[in-house]
Amino acid sequence: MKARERVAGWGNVIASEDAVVYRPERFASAKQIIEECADKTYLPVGNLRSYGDVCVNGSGAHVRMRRLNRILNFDKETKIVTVEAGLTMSELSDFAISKKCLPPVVPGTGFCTVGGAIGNDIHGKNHENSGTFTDHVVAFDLLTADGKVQTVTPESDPKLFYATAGGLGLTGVILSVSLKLKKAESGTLKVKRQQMPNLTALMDGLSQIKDDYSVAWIDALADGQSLGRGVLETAHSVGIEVPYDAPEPTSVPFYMPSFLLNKYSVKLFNYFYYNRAEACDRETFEDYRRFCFPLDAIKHWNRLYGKKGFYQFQCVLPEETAEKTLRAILKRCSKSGAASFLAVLKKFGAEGKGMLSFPRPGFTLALDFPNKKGVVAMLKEFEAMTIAAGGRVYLAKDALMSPESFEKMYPHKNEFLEVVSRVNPEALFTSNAAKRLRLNVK
Amino acid sequence: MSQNIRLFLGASSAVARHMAELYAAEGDALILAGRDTEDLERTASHLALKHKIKASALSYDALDFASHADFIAEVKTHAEGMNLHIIALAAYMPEQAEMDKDIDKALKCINTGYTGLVSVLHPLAAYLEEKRNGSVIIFGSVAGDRGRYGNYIYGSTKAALHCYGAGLRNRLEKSDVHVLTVKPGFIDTVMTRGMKLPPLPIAKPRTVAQNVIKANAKKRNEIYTPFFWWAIMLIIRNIPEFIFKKLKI
Repeated sequence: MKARERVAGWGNVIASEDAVVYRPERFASAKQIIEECADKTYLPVGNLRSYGDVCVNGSGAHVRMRRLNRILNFDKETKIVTVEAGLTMSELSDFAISKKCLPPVVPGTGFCTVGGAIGNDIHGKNHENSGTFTDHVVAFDLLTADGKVQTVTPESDPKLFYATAGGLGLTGVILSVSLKLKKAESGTLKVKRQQMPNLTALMDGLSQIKDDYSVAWIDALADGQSLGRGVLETAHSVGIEVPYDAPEPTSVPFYMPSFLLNKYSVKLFNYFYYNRAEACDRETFEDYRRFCFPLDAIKHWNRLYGKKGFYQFQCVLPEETAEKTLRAILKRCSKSGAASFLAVLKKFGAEGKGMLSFPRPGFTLALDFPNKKGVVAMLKEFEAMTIAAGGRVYLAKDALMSPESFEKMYPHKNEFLEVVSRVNPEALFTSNAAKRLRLNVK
Repeated sequence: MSQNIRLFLGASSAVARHMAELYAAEGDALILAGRDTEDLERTASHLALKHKIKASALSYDALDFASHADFIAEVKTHAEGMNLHIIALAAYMPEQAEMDKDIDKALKCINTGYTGLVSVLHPLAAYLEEKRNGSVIIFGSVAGDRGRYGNYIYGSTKAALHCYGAGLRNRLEKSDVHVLTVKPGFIDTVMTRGMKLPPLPIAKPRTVAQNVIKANAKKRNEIYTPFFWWAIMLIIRNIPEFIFKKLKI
């Protein structure tokens, strides 16, 4: 069951080249690994889609849950589905759509696992009306450091539930999850795309145009009058069926040279992306999976950034300070020429209920930067701007936060550590991120 | 409603799970037989929910010969009125070095992968012969093509299966029951995980599952999967013994 593999965050910046990785294929094996405890530390991981070091456990062992991906039960009346933690979002979506339902919340990639969705308390393009993933989790089975499995619900053990929601795997191994799906007529969405000529228009669009799903792509290299221009996408479920043939994904077969994504190529890409016909006030019918998981059509797209990899920065800013801070960030971005082509802006609703959950009311911006000289310093500046504006940075994407900044942005840290000292007192479950942010109680 | 019911002997295997999923997608009923019935129930629920077919988990322990008669009776009950297709995958492959020191481990390997399988396959083969429908897929291995110092106890169980499969094919030909022998190379599963393997490609379980199903549909007799193993084993099989016995592979 044990092998040595490379484990890295999706950004490829932080990696453990020769890591110990267990890959249980049977339900009982996961428990056996922890009971036998042949290694000093463990980290449960899904499909390694978080960007930084949340899914890397340097010199320790990893437990890859991917092959425990079965659907165990579905209640037609309550729409509650029980699944193993290794099931991916796209597998969950396929099943839900076959039962005239949709998953309540999904992130931007269908490759994320259900366990990972809880561990990072992910959000999607519908946060304002649907909250985070764990808002819809009814229960999960957690294997803790003592080798025991307990069923955790928000009522039975709220502290453990909300410590595990966004808890980065540090409370134990999630084995299976019961989740409430939402009723839907079909897996088809009616999607509207509109160009927004500048940041103010884009933010107004996100605030005023109400729909089930809404997200904006931002041209992070636009400047002057066009600073913050982008394309607003809004969508809702409809009752017609569009035939969905999951497209054969193309793949980036090897690491691209690092000069591929630079100021000029990205500016060119952004120009065409902003002006494409689809974006000019058009409505189309799209399959839910295509709309929600746009980049999944390109396997290994992270290789476009080359061997050096890339950093992702995502922050949430309260409404009062958002426009000012976003302007400052985008100006700094376009001045530095550090190219970000996957820039995304969304509006958040209520605060995430997990102790380390990321969302809070306001606007959330996600940017990507190739790992080049000067980028780390710039991201540290963005982090400082975020703290000053009363916002916070997303742990699932982050690789640079210091423990001091973390304390400022995540006020429930001590509550979290209390739970960890109860269920994981010897830091059996740990990660590079936990060490960096000082989340190990030992 | 499909007339087919597929019995997997050793259903916890990753290849078995993928084959079961692919057959379930075609509407076939399934019997998942193995020791870890708790785990097999999960796979059965998963496939029944996903593909709206009937799937059952049955306890099958290759080493418990006394239980085999009852097991066979249960299978026949499940397969009543349907075409029974058997897929025999159960195997146990400890390190050769360990088996060299521990005869019990060696016997466990032989009984799990050969005698324990034949113990249920043989009576079920007679059942298929009588009904004149169904099929048998036997999972051998490239390891069975030639005994080599690195893996010859396991290899010998597979060589025995190849011979048994050929004989069975011969016998069941006149009853319209097809027998396919599959010889996989290295597959990425629990069996090979963490092993030091020669630098040859390791196949994904799903790929192997797809290849086997295709070959069975085409009524192939013996296949290597992935296909390039045919060429590798052609060479390996034909190295003269006086040279081969000096090699350390």
